[in-house]
Amino acid sequence: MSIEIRQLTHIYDAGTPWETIALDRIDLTISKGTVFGLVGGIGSGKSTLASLMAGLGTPAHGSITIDGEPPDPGRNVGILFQQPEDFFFEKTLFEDMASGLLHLGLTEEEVHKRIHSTLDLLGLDHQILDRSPFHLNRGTLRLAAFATVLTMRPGYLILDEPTASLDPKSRKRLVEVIKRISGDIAIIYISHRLQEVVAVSEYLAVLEQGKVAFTGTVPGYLDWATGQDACEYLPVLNQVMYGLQRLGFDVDLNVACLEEALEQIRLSLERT
Amino acid sequence: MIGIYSHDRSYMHLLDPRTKLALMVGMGLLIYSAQLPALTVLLALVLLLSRASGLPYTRLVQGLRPVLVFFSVIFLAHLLFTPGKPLIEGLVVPTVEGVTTGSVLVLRFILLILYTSIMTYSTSPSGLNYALTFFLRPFGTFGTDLAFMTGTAMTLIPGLFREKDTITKAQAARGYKPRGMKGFTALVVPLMNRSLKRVDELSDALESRCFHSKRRYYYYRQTLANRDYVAVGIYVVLAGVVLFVRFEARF
Amino acid sequence: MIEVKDVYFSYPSGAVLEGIDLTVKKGEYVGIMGHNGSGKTTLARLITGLLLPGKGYVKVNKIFTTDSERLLDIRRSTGMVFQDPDAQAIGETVEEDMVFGLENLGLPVPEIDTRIEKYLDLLGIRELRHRNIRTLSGGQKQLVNLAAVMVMEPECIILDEPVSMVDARCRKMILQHIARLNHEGTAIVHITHDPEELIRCHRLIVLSRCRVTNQGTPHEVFGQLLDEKKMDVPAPYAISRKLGLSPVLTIKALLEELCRSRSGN
Repeated sequence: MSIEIRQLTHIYDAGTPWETIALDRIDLTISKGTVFGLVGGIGSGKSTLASLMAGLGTPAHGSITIDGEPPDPGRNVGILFQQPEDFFFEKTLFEDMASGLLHLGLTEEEVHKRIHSTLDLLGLDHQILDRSPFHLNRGTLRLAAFATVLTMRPGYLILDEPTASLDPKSRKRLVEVIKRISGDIAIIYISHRLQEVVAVSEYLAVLEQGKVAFTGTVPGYLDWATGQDACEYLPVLNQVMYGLQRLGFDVDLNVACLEEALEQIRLSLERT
Repeated sequence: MIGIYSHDRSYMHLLDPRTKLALMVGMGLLIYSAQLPALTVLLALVLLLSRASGLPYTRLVQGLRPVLVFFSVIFLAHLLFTPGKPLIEGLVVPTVEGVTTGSVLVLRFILLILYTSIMTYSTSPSGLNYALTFFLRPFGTFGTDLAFMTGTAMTLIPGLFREKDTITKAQAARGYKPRGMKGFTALVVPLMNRSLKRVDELSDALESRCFHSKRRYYYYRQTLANRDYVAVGIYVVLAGVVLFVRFEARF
Repeated sequence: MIEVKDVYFSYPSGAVLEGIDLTVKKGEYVGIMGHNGSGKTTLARLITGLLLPGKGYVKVNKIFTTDSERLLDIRRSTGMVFQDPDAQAIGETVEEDMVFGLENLGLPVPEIDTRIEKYLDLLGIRELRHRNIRTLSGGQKQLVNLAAVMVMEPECIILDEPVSMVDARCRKMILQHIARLNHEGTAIVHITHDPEELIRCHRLIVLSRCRVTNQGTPHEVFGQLLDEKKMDVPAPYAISRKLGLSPVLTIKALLEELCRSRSGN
């Protein structure tokens, strides 16, 4: 059960002077039940890949299949765009969340049940359902938007910069939720906050100018990143670890948070 | 394609923006007064101009896609509601007049869009602003402010289309492909929301960079060149021909 | 040159700033740190008069921001770079964008020419000169925005989350430019939620729950924040403090400290 991407190529404005190859023969496999990080810099093609994976657009060449089927937005795959709070438009949150579900053909009762259970999953107060999306704060809204996509129960969920502009409390909450639900579905986590991606994901892919520069596990990524230009792909903590390794310290490159880094350094100092 | 400028040195690019603006208005008048035969000539002229400006024909035509539905509706309306000589035996509508009127109207719209696209492609917004300011100067500060507003608004148009694309995608991603009134709200509310935010931030940026009414323009302090006179000359000839054909048809 | 005194500000949704005091002297590099929603963006806009305080006042070079006649003078000496790279694109091409501010300042054409050349090179964006801004990446756009403000040569530049939407490579470049600007005499007000950006500040203030809760040198403030466990501090600082070493702000310094500690053992 996975997303299979084979030789995926996408070209914008083909045949014109503006022709850009956004994706160049990408091969990727994303398995269910994992968090898969996607990282990339200038013109890397991650947004294009995200859109195509979500079934929004047809690739110029190559294929994407989700569990053997083409991507069907809202059914086998869901996507949370950047600043999703901007896309609410109904008078109450409930109506907004319900509209997509009613379209799937669920009964009103089923819709109610799903929405409420999803809110529980995310630890959100049911009261917000009656409020207007324009009167809630950003952290709550972000989680609500997340809930909206989750209620569609997609097998695969793409999150594009999910924690951007959030305060630390909301950010932490969102990351916790992601870790919690990743057992049942696959999450593709796109972000330029490297420390976060590394902490949340099990696997990672790096896109550079439309090509896959790296794909593999997080430890593998960290090893690969040490070889790159100016360590631009290494999060800060791991840069510290790498610096120490090069100076002969016996530390592990793969640390996900401050506590782990401190632990490693203390042990290493004790050993000398 | 309206509103996207690309820096280049084509014939059209090098024309003074005031010439282009004046010609644009002139073309608008011509298009409005021309009938079918003249309109097809103008359509052919578009091909020539797109070469002269370096804008590929395909891209130019692509700009019509968003409004294709609109045109079809207009054409259909005229087809069905214009009285006159029936096209098909026994059916009151469609009529020959319906086809002609429908085509003329749609063709006029198309030509306006195509010509405007070529002009905005070959004229930087700064140049457009300058040209607008030049012609609106008799109206004082109001004129120059109006010129700036119009110029800036034009640069925001492609952004609107892009937002619309993003929003439709985002709603579709929720499995939500609403139709009718609901669909309209699902598109318009977020669009307004995001656009107003953008415009707010843009006006903050403008103020921070000391924008004020009495600013001077850096570009285009040049005088008109030969090619401007040539362009105007071509236009005069064209206008003469079109108007002659138009009124000749009366006889 | 900038004086914020006892400023209060509320939006319809609630109070956002209460009793804020802040001064920025010529050539100072001041960092303002706070969570998203802590009022830092509001404070930025209050400084240049884009917003007016409910209570208290803001003075720039002794001019009140409420003095609408002289607002232009205030804006001439303070430039602002906003968070969203897209929202600030005024011209169509990079060159036009940079020229816009200079047109507003009413500079003569030769002066405009010289300045454009100077700052295109300074920021390393010469090849982007005639590119359409919309075709650039987020980081490049922000570089252009910075150039467009720098070219006006203001006494103080205010940066509101300048690199939060920017990729790693451009981020480093932009932060270096900011540091250099300050080195050459421009005052900087750098607003962000990311402490790693503020290690080069002269002075740091922390905004939380509508008030200034900490202020002082980076070392002082980070020390307080670490003890209060309230907010993130730069990783090298946290590590050096928690290991009982001499507190440092950069990775390089941290590595040196750790080496020293190892040889000490």
